[in-house]
Amino acid sequence: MLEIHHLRKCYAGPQREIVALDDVSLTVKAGEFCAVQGPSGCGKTTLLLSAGGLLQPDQGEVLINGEDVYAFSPDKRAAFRAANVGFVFQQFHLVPYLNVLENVLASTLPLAVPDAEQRAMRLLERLGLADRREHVPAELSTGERQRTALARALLHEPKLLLADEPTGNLDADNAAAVLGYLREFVDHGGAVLLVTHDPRAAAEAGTIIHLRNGRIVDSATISSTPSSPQTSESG
Amino acid sequence: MSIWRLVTREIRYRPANFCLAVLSVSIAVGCVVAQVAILHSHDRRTEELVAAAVERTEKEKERVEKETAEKVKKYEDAVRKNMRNLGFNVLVLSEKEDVHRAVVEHTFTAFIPEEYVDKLANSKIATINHLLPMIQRKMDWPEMKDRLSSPVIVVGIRGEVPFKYKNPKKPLLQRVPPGKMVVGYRIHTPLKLAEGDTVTFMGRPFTVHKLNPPTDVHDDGTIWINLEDAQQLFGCDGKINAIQALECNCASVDRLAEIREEIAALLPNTQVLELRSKALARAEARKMAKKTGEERLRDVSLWAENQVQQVKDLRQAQRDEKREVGFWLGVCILLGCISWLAILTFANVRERSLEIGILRALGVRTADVFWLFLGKAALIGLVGSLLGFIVGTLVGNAIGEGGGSRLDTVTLLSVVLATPVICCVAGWLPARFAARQDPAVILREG
Repeated sequence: MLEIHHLRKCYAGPQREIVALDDVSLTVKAGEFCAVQGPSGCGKTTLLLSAGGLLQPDQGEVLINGEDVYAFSPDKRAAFRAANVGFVFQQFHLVPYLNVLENVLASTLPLAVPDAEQRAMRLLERLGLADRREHVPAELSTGERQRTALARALLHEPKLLLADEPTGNLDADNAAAVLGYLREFVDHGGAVLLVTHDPRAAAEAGTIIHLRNGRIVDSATISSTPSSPQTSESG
Repeated sequence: MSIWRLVTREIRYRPANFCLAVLSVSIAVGCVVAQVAILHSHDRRTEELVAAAVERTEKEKERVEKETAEKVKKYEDAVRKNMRNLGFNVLVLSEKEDVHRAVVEHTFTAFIPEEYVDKLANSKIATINHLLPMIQRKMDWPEMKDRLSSPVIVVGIRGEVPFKYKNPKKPLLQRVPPGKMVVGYRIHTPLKLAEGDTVTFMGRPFTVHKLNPPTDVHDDGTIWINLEDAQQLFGCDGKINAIQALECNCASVDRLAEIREEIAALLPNTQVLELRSKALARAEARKMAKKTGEERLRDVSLWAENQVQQVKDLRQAQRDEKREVGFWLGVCILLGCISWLAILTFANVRERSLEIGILRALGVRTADVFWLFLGKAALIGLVGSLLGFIVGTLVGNAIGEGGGSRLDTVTLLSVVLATPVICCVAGWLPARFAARQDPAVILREG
């Protein structure tokens, strides 16, 4: 589903270049839940944005469904992203003046989704937000906001879900609920690339990648339940 | 979900930005519309003033026309009445005289005895008041032929002959002393004669006795000499060509017949002509009166045209002044409005940068982000133009001259179509800036 090959991304620093990602390669298959962990500033968010087609890397390639997303024109890449990728952010990034239902439907702006409103309502019911559909984000709890963001990311049934610390601002119950929905998405054949500090979130993942100074330093595949992980070293 | 829904929701969420923008557009449009309304009311008032001036001057023209017609009629009537009581002039000629030649060409060929005039003077004829015997020829002045372009009329006169049985009256014509000459204007001017000069006429010296001023009649081409001198020059001693009998009074309606009857009884072999008919004099008087009236009417027409033109010129000058002030005011307000709108849109872009990042992350194209802001600018333009039109029309009619509101659909359509376009122009750069923002930077920083 997601293949990243030899990705390198640098930012211009005040004195010298800052290497955010250096020769990063990874694969997330359909039905796979991959978590990326690492200290702050190690390049996790850069990896996520590059993987989602939002941040052009200096080197390397990003393939989603076998398509090199940076080979597309910006508009075609946007359309491709709208059709195939869903984003969930730690800060939720909901549009403040749209209510819950409208925020969820915002993902249909670039993409025609058949029966979008009915599907959005079904999603909201499943995520326990049906009775909050008329509320704007400011009137929601953090958990509700994150579930709204999740609903927005899932409405057009993407194949790849990119989540940046989705449980970072949530209490244990809400975090568990959100992770449960991500697991459900994976179980239905979707691929999740999760960037997190949260060990609970990482525990949900089938693959855990450790990033340090822009490089993958460790990758572990957990074969069974999160409580008894088996890890394996990889390049 | 559509871009339009995002625009309207955002306006409800951040009304201050929208209201400030609409306010600035309304003020700008209001000023322009008020200016147009003021000019329209100015035009309406001008039409009223011009119509009033035309009506006033037409009335004045009618009044003067009527007054002139009455005056001409009165004048004619007065002339008719006066002339009824006036005498008239006759000419006593030889019955052999060619009347046409005598009257038209001013030259006589036949003679009557000079004693005829004495006969009349000594008679008790009641119809004649003045008697003037004369000899008259039209001829080239032999000595001056090279210096005069036309022949001269030579008249020999002996002055007025007094009536024996009548009280003496003030003479109508003075006699010319022997050896002297009175010279008409058209003759003495080219010859550069002065009183006292000696000239030679038909080989005989004459002293210039008097130089006549211009008279606008054939007298200007005439020289007068003493009758005896003329008789000697033309070889007709004791003879004259005609007797002018002036200021004849008659009691009957057919005056000429009455005079002819009296004269024929005294002077055989003569004929009597009326010199200038009363009808002619009256026609001339009527013509003069009519001419005066026409001149008066022409003056009044010119005055009327001037009055109307003055109103038009004054109003046009005022309109030009208003339009110029309004134009520059409009330009300043328009530039101010565009700048203000651009600043507000730019502030809105900065405020919504995270939202732009989110939308871009969701796959919204740059063009859609661009239209998100341009659509809002167009809506601001539409709402602002409608509000501005209403306010501008009310204000313009309130402070304009015409008073009363009138829906100016052309201006309405113009501002409703043009203002959103201008607002889009103002929002173009900020919208472009918004569309070109890097979503990755926004999301990483957000």
